[in-house]
Amino acid sequence: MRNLFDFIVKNSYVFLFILLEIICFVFIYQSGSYRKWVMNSASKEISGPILEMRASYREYINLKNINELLISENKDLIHTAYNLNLSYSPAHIFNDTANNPVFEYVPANVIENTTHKQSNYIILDKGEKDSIAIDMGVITARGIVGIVKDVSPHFCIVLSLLHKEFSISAKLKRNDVAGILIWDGINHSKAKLKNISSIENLKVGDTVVTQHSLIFPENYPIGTVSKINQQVKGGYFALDILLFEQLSKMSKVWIIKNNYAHELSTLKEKVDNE
Amino acid sequence: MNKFLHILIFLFLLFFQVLVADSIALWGIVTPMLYIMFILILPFQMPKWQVILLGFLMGFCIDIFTGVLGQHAAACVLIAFLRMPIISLVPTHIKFEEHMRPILWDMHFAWFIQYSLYLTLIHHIFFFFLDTMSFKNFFLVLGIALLNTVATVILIFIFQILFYKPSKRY
Repeated sequence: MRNLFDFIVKNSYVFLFILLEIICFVFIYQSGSYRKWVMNSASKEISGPILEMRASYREYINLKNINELLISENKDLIHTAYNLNLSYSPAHIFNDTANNPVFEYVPANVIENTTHKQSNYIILDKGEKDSIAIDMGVITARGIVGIVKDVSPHFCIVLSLLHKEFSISAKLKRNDVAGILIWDGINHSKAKLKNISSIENLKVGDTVVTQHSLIFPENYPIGTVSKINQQVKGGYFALDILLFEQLSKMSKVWIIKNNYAHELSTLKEKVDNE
Repeated sequence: MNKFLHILIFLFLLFFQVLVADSIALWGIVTPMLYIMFILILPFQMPKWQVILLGFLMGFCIDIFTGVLGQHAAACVLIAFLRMPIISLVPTHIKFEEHMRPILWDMHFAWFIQYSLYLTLIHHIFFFFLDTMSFKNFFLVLGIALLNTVATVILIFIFQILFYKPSKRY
């Protein structure tokens, strides 16, 4: 008994090591509740202001790039605005949703972003007080970024496109061939479009855009086809996509609010319950 | 005085990691994790349980700012635990003396590079596989871990050269 006691005291650090590792693994496996915990207590109080400070000095360093981006965005907007004026058609009267637009865009700053891991998350400085909710899309002017995963009063966590669990439906702009956009975890500037039923008529360089959904507006750019894989996997083909947006460098994003999402989901629930 | 110094190093490395090192994203994949230097340079004489506890604390603080809670902490606890075995494993001709600390100037260059390389390698491989939770892209994840290891070790050396000098005999 005495020996056992001595043994435990002498090797107490081994038990401490095992205990702490178990605690860590419990934290990792409860990643769902972790986010709530961190966002509600620690992150907001401690890391929030520091991460915001870091975001602001990064923004200062990147001012030149942001300016260039703004100029190109403005150029595109002016371009579309003039085209709208020129090509006036009756269709515009019916499609005019200016009074109650389907999608509203909320600007947000990136305060934490990783790309070097396999499960990448992005933290933005907008939260419940800006009426951000779970499952809203996040985009930049160049392409899509991710989907809001969790919200706290002042911040939200975004499931990055560069996350092994990310998947949305996407299609090719030219011929409406649809597939599922995923990230295979290999290259942070590339994604994969899988579940393509046929690769006839497909070309390298085709633009990939979003499909109609509650999260993203239709035809929002994602990237271009960089490689067509010839081998069939389970009856489907897969394409390599070169993303337009470099997720490691962005600092300003837009959160997409769908004004009809709630209405549609309640309608769906109603049908499901009947 | 010594305790105070350790707290200062702790805070400095924590904020350096969060504010500067995490901003480095070389080719989007290389982000040096300098903060593990805190565990490397703890005195030889420090009790093992204390090293492990401090490692946990450091990892946990980093976790609050980045990633999933527990990832950095788990990797830090592991290298804090393996520190002593690695120290006894790395061959050296130096006689360990009371005043020595495991820093570049007290030990040989070759000793310190092996010591920091082994521990950083263990930390990074463990961390990146913990993040992936699968062996699907085994060689890719291993490659990323190796690249990050090189970056971290280089940064540790820069910091050792800039901020440290040989410890005095008491």
